[in-house]
Amino acid sequence: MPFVTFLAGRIFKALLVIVAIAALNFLLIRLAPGDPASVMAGEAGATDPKYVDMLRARFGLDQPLWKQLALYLGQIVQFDLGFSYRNQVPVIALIGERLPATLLLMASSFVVSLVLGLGLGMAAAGVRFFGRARWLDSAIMSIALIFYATPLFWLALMMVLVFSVQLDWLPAFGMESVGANLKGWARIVDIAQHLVLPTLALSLFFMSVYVRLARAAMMEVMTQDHVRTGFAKGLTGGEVLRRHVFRNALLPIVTFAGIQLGQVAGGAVLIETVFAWPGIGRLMFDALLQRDYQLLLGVFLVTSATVIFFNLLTDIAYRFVDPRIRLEGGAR
Amino acid sequence: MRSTRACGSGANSMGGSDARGTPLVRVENLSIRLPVGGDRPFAIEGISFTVDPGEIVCVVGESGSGKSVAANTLMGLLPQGLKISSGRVLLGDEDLAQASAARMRALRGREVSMIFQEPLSALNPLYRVSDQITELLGAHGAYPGKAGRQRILDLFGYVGLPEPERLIEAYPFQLSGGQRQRVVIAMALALEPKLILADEPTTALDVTTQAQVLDLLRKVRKDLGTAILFVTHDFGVVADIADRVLVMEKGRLVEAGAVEDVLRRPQHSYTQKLIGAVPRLEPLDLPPPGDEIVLAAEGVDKRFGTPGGWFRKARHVHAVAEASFTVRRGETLGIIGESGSGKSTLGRSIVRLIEPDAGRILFRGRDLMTISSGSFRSERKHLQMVFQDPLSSLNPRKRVRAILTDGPVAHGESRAVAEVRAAELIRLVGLTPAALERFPHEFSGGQRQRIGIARALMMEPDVIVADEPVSALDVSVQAQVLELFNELQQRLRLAMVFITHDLRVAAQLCHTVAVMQRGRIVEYGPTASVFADPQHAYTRQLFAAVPGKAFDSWRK
Amino acid sequence: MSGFWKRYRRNWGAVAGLAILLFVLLIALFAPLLYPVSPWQMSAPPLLDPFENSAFPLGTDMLGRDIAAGLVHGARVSLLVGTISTLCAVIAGVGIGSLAGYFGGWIDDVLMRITEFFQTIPQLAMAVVLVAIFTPSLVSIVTAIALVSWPPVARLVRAEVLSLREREFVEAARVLGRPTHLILFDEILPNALPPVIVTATLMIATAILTEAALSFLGLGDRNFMSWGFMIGAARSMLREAPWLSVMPGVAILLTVLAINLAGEGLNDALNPRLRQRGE
Repeated sequence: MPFVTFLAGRIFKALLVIVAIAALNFLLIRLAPGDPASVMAGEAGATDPKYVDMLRARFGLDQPLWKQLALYLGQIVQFDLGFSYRNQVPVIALIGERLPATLLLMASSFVVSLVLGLGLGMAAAGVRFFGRARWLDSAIMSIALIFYATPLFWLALMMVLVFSVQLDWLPAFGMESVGANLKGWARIVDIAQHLVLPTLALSLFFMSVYVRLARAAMMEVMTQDHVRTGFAKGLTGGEVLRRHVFRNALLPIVTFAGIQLGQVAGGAVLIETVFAWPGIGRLMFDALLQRDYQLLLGVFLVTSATVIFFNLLTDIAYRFVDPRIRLEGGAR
Repeated sequence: MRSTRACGSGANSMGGSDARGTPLVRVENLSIRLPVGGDRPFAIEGISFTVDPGEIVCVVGESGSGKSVAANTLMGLLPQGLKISSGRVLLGDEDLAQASAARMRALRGREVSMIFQEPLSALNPLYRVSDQITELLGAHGAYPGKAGRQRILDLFGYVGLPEPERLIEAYPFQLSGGQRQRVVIAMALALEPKLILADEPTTALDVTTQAQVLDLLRKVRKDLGTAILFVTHDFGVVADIADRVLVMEKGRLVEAGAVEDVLRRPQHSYTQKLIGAVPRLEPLDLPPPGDEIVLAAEGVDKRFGTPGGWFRKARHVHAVAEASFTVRRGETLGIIGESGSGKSTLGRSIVRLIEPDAGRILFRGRDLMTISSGSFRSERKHLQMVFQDPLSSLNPRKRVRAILTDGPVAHGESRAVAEVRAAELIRLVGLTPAALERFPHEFSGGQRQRIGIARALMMEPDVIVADEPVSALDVSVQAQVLELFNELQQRLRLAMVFITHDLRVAAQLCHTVAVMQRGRIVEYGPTASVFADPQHAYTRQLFAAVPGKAFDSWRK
Repeated sequence: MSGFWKRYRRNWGAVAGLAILLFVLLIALFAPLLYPVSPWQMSAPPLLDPFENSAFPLGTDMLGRDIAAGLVHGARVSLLVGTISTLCAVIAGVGIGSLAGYFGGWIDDVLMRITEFFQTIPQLAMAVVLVAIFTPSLVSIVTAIALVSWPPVARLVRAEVLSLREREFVEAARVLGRPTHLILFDEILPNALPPVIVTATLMIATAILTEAALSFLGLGDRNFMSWGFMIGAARSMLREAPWLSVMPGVAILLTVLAINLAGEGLNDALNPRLRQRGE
């Protein structure tokens, strides 16, 4: 299958999923107990009938259901995610302002967790492969298990407690020092310092996921025949491990990393909440507190769209890693 | 099928062999201990043998005999948990049992190389085949730079791969099974080793491809003087390729000698038993079938395809093309073909595990394709199947009692009545009633196949379709199960459709045979006349490829 | 069964996990006897340090609520939400997965698109939206967690059924004329169950984490004390009284860890072949 057809198909599918999520949003509003407009208005609506009327118009509540859905989807397609009454700004503007911070956090966490996870997973599988230093495998797997069982938000709090409150090494809140008004490099360093704790907190959980995944995938590949061929050629254990075990294990890892992104996005909500990181996760928490459901649903939609976009990227990456898919196009 | 022309200058440069006289390999009193808790203390126990330069030595034995372990020892590639506990493995004057890891690496691929059973899994799916050979050259610092590519082209030409220039760019999944095995052989030859270990190198291949690969290995030995240690379970292959034979049983070497001596005059009782169990290629005299036609297929047709989607193209394979045949009471029809010939699809179409696209299947005169699903259910009862894989054909979570009685119960019989018959049938197939209380994993392969047969018989069938029922079994067990089929057929006057790739097996119990190629029945007739005088070119090709014809003439 | 226990026992981590789990379970069961007074009750001076007052061994929070009582009652919510939501998710996943795997064709296509859809959506974000819109309660929390956690079960069951469906013993059952529902429920599913049981165990752990996260965000059921809520409430006191956050967090960590360990032991015991290969 030519790349263009493949890409067109995937993009079409991604758009379809986004539309489906919008439809799901609509469904949720309709299914919620009570009049949709007042549900959406939350507590805010009680004080301002004008806002409720605006919502009624937005959802076309006097029209048949399918028209309401069409109306809603039409607005979404035009990037109209509604109006935040609390903040007196369109939802899309609020989200747009906060999105870069979240993308920065997600990207740094994704990279850190993947690098740490793959590194440790390879090390764990590697010592098994050579039949040496099994304690290292046990140690790595125990660490992975512990971080896998630790609630994200609690880990974040404990990091604040240790590294900010007790040791005072790193800033605990926000993305930049308040009022410092830094420029250029100084600003980048400042942001980087603020980024360390949230990234670590978010990464450690996903690191443990990748450690287990990488190790399991490599252990699986080790049993395959082509590994024996590698030895039969006279390659060293390290060469076999690198070229014939790790490279092959990378495929399931890439796939899974894509799937896992949704969870990273979910975790970002918690992490941003703890660290007052000015991203859309924090925005979601604020929306919860203020019962600003238009905003809440908007954030949900954008978060999902982000994940779908990254999934698209992994799909493309996968195509380049596996010749079977690149050349045949089938076999999914 | 030889491609001697393709070797050119590359092949000549591969020449040169060791001085004759001293053995290349001397294995002395080698023992390899199994981990504690195994079914026996040693994988290999006190075996000694030699391989001369340029000699082809076959190691024969049934599964679990330790024959593969013996070969792997020479590579220093024992499975985890296995260690040499005593003895010497000499390659020239060097004891491999004492060699350092670095020394073993230097030997692997250069002095000793290996050909594996599964050519697909032996190659890494993610690399071009040429890169996998380049890797071997690189590991030994041979043929640097452009010379490497030329070397691979020469090798590909030598092993008879078509269009080397194109295949050099290919990934393993783009090659056929035979081509992959040629790539693996090319890789093994790349540095002209003194010894090639071939671990069941033709078992996963079709018989015609097998014949080509055996030809190629003989050519390699002749051109390059390479010694080959060839592990196999197939005496036909042994007769075709071996100079000498080693027979192994449960980790011990029970007999060794020149191929003709061993095959003609086996000394050890185990060797005698194995050789006696190999089916002969000439058709057996079978009791004649009755007149009543129980099963008839008319123009059965089946295409497989992945339907096209929005973004992909549809693909079609014509699996069975207008197949027709008849089977009478007490008759066995053999459907013979290589993998992908459509023989299994045809068999499954008869019992309607697969819905044919067109054609009629007449069972006792009624067309199974058109009758209502209700009456099909009652008809199917008498149309049963025996499967290939004795492990996967029995539900691992059920006791044999349930496996046998579930079928009749589904047709309204009471469990108690069915259990009485189960006890009778389990005896009939040669097991004791105690077997009813056990689970499938407690039985051997042959016993499981007997249970599978009993399960089919529980339904009091008129027709049994058997899909390669003995191909997964060791040769001695295979003989017993074939005997059981013959016995049951005579006793119960069953009509059978017996699907097999093995002409020897077909000769043992088929009255008529249908030879399939690419979905079509290309030849159809009484076994005796087809075997004596095959008409279709493909049938002739099949017969020509059957290994061990010399062996048959020795046995007369 | 004795073989099962023997294999389970070999993994000491799994035995430790099971012991911790039983301990938490007992505490949860007997919570009303241990602490008959509501954990919400402000029963003592605020911010008592732990290990100083024998009546309040783990101290009190900023409103004078007994931390020990909170932990004990929180165990109930965690285990309850964890198991019930997992049960729902497993039932849904097994149903959807086996239908998709067995029938294939367009049924499979439709069901798997839906499964992929639910798997793509950020799970926690979706759970937050669901609970927020349907107002926080035990029912909405359980529903939300179940709704975001069934897809992996469905995929697993589908994959198992797909591979089992091709096994010859299933073909044999069809040739024998066994009805479809028996082929699915009596031949295929019992063979697909062991990996599902293991996955379900691990899902309970994840569900407990999700419940804690929801309560932490203020989306817990206000009628029940929960560990996540305790951490969320103590957040503002992180400087002054860190133990308020530390203790419920440790409770979650231990419980989730114990379930994971037990799950691994279960995996070893149920799939002995896999273990041998992995070793």
